[in-house]
Amino acid sequence: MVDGLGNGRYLITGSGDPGLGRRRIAYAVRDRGRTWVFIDGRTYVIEPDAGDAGERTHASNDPLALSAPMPATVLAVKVAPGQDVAAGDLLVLLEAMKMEVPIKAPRAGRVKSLACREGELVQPGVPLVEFE
Amino acid sequence: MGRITQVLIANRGEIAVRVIRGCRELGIPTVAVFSDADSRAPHVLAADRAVRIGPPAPSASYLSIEAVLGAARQTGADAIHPGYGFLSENPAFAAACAEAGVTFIGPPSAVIERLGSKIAARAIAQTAGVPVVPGETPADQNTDAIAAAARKVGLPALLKPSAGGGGIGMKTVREEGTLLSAIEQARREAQAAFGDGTLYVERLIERPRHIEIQVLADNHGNVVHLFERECSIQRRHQKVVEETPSTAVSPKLRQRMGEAAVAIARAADYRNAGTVEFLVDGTGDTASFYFLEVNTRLQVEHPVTERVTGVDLVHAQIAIARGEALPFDQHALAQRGHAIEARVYAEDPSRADLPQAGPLLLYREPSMPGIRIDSGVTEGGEVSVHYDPLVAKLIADGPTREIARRRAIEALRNYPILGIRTNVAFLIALLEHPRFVAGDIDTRFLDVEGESLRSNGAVPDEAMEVAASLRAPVSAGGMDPWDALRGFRG
Repeated sequence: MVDGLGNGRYLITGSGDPGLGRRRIAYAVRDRGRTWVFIDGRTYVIEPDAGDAGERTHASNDPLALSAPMPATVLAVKVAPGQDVAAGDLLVLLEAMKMEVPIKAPRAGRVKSLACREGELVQPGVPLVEFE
Repeated sequence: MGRITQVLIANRGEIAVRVIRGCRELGIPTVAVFSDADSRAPHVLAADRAVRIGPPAPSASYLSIEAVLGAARQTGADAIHPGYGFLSENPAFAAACAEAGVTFIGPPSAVIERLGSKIAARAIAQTAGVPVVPGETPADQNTDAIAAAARKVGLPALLKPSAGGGGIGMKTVREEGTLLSAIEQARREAQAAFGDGTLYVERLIERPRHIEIQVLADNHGNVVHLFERECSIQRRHQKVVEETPSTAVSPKLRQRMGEAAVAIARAADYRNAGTVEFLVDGTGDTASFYFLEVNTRLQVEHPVTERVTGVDLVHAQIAIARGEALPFDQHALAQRGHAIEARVYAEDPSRADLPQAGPLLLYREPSMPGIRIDSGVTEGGEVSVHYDPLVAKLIADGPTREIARRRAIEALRNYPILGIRTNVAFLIALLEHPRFVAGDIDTRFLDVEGESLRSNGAVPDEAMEVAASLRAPVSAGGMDPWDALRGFRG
């Protein structure tokens, strides 16, 4: 059972006789359909369409794997359209928060198109490279 | 040197807040500086006065000597505390402060310059009779010459920005096959971070500990050390958890390392607070240690030293900058109990620790016995893409290491941060790891054990239940006031 305590706090009571269920405090907030939940040191991000699957997984065919994880500057574009790449090949090198962030090929394939240029500031979630 | 009537803090985030607090405790008014990204940041709200110094890019604001000194002139600040990072170890900045008649709260420019050069710093250590790790800055900086130098010191080798610090741009090379690309990447990162792509090549000691000694030196010839900080828990050479005392350091080793650090500080004619970093091979009385470098600034992890010695390092820095003699000698200093610092980073442990930027939709710091939190963010604020991803430092202390460790875990379990991903769960797993519990750590700890500390991403039913209760249609009059607030914030 979940009771709102106000100000983003929730009381979770486990099943059992009243008063015997395990009680925990959770913190949660919704933002643009996403729900962030904190329980006992762990944070869960539940996407709107997640259903029972929970947090989205970053599988190798995830198009987000080919996008910037955060606003970043493109340091170098290492591939050209039409080029064949192997899984793990460096496609684009980004820089964000003082660190180099490599974007690598999630699988073997051919680069169909590029959606970024060197020196450009790119936004998160927008694919930088399209695979065929 | 002399009177300090107003201190400008040339920094942002948690360290600016911490220095402002230290100044206020001494009754000294403070001036904050801020970029356009920080106009409502906690450090700006904490200071007595605040001056805008430029756009968000650090190069145009927090790294601009002209802008920072302009703010000092404008407000009449007669001293500047540089914090860490940014201009803190820039000898040109310390020199410009001196020229402008502003007291730089740190060592003189010439000392920063000498110790900032790895070659000169090693020479000083050798003069002081302290051993160093084999390495060099190749005079010829082309890729082939650096590769040759790396082969000479022997692989595995470390590539370091000659002008750098804090692990930024540092690369480990284990195999010949990756040597050339690692050199090029290290040079690019050094160039981007420090405006200088010069690389230093050093032999890598396997399974070493990274242990540093805090020193304080005044203008009256007094130099003391405030014991060690164990900083072996690092990834990509960025520290994650620090503690004092170190489980590797016996009283005899502590005395030898402390004396070595003091000897180096004396040989360098050091002033103010500084940290002498060592690589330690082995544990206890028989361990060897090698001089690495001197950090000529207040360290991120300075609070653990404060917790066990009772010395406020910012107060000490200001007293030294005023020309006062240290109010204690070596014999008056002792370590009492244990302190552990856990660095809370905005990063995603499930995606290779990628730094995260975003809004702090909900941010609540735990308040409990034995816990100190140094932070520079608040709920409703954000972690900006422009600056480093450190959100806060959680420092736990206690009479024993075990109690400090348990306090740190309990506090992290009650430290909700929502809106950006953080390493809080990772820190808890780290502090619970059997090797950490046993004190069996080295600088490779996270490379070896890090994967086992990452969450599998599974969402328990109770989290889904909480999420479902937030999605449920709001009943009449039953609206969570928090949601109502969120609506206003839009």
